[in-house]
Amino acid sequence: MEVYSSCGTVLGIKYQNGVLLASEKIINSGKTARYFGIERTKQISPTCLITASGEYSDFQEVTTLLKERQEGDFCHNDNHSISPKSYHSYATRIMYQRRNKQKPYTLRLVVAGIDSAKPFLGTVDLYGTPIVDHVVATGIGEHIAKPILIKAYAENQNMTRDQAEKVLIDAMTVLFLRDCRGYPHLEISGIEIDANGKVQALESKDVEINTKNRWASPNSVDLPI
Amino acid sequence: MQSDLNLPVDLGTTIMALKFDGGLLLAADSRTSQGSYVSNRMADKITPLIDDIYVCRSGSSADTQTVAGYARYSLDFHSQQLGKRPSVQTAAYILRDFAYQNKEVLSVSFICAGLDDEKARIFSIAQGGAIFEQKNYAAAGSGSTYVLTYLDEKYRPNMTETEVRELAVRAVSLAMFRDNSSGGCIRLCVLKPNTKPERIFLQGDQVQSMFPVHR
Amino acid sequence: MSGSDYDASTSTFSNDGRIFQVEYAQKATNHAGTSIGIKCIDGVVLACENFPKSVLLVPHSQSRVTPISYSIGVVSSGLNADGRHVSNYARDQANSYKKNYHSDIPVGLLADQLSLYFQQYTQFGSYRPIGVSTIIGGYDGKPQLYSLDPNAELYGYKGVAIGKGKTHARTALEQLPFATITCEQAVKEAAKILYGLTHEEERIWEIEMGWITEANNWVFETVPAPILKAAEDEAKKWLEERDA
Repeated sequence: MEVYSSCGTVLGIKYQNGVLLASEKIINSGKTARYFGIERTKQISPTCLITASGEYSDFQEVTTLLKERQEGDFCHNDNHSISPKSYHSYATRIMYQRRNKQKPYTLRLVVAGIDSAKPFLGTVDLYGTPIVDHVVATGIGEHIAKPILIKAYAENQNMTRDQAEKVLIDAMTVLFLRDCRGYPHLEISGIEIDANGKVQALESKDVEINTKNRWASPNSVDLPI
Repeated sequence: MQSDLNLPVDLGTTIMALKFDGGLLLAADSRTSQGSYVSNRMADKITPLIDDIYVCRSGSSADTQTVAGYARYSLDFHSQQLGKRPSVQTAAYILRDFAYQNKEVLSVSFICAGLDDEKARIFSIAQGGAIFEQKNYAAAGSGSTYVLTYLDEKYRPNMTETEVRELAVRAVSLAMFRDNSSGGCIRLCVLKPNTKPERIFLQGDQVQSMFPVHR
Repeated sequence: MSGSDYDASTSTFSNDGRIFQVEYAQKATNHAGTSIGIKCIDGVVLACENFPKSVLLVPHSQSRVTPISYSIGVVSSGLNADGRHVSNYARDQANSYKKNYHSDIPVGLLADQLSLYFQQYTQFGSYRPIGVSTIIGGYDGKPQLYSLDPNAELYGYKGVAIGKGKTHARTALEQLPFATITCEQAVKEAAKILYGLTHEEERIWEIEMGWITEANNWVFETVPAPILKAAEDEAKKWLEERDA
């Protein structure tokens, strides 16, 4: 139950023809920054990505389980693999089974993909609660970044990929400034469907947060006396 | 008052593995303690798993010995099955599976390292069973907290063997200086392609002479 | 034909040291549709001829060339249901290996495990031998090809054929340039070999092929329809010229 190697916030947002995910490339143990450059968005099928915040060893285990499921599917050799919606449901069962054993996977899983030619974005928490939404933020990001994402999505429900990326990076910048476990190096990954109906995972991209002009001038600091 | 001797035997430890140009170096202190009592001052925390794959152990002494023993058995069996030495990745994953599946009862963390086809590979297995392949170096154990920044600062990719050896000895001795759970001697193990693993031993008094005590 | 009293069980040897049930199982595979495996420089090709039982069946709806993992495939000749049982067992083995060692099972090891499994069915009284020969093809750092018979004999091959056309097909395979052959070429050769076998007039039959190629990142796939079609057309032309 205890979390030893924790991964922080994941942000996700749908855009006109895909889903974009952002995560910090770091694993902390407690408040010590321990493992750097960790990419934790995993492609488990041609149309589905997963990522998570929480205990990293549990995430590795769940990833293995889902990939095993995918290879089993591959062996049917019928050119069919289960959709992100189904993976979301499957992940929910995995999580709920474990909570019933009083041994939950200490995770907040995010499942993203293209389902029936439309973007899909969902999460499952450690109790096995499924949530499907247009935007996703986990961990402390749920408090700090999610309002930003909700607002951005409400203003423009038909974003381009670049716009979506900007929204995620902006929200991550706020998180970096307000989350002790924040980290300025991000992994941006996603999956989208093109005009020909071809689904393709985007090559994951490294982004460094830029906090220029985000610091108040020393003169404006209020002295408490 | 409860005696220290009733406390669990712990490898409050400094262990590390570093890649250099043409090989790999493992380093560890030699202290095993129960509370404040040093129950073994000459412990060997660098344990061979099979041929030239090694594991550095930290956590409960009993647990890590058991898991390493299980991994040795498993790898021995597996090498018979394969007809060749299993990969470092396989060795690391055997450790991780055992650590992960029994995380409720075990207190273990490892650095598993070795050479696959002349390529050095280092895997960290954290408490709880998360496994990470490390690009350049890894450090674990209670003492690592004190020297991670030192390694971050001083380590460069493609250092020579001598440079890395000096760095590791320096880092472990600094950790031993600050971390009361680390101490004793320094043990090193050098792995190079087509060469027998070389074990090096630094006496406690030599280590002591490196402490930055006069600053 | 009959082994006189000693042919009902695998638990008893005949007077001259044979286990007839195992030999009958071999006969079952020797009467079944031919399967071929070819080891190439850039992968492995598995091919077979299928005989749909009825014109009402959807073409290519019964498949014998099946994947075991991303990088291994098998094809069996004999009782189709036994073949599916074997591939299921192979999948379990490949999957459990991956679970334990976090890497893909070496093809030779999988073949070895299958052969031990086949052997069990030649030894115990309550079992009937497995009624298929199986070709195992895959990639584990280099292309690999094995063939396994109901008597549990296992050998590695450059090219192999099983089933009713195996004698003819093996003779044809011996002519192939294994040191240089590519999968693209092997597909054509396999089509020629299968078309070269005698087929009863009026009997429907179809070719099925799978391969593991470098071009597809060493992942098993059914040979794409256009490539297969081209190979079949070429084989048909070659056959007409030969018979002309």
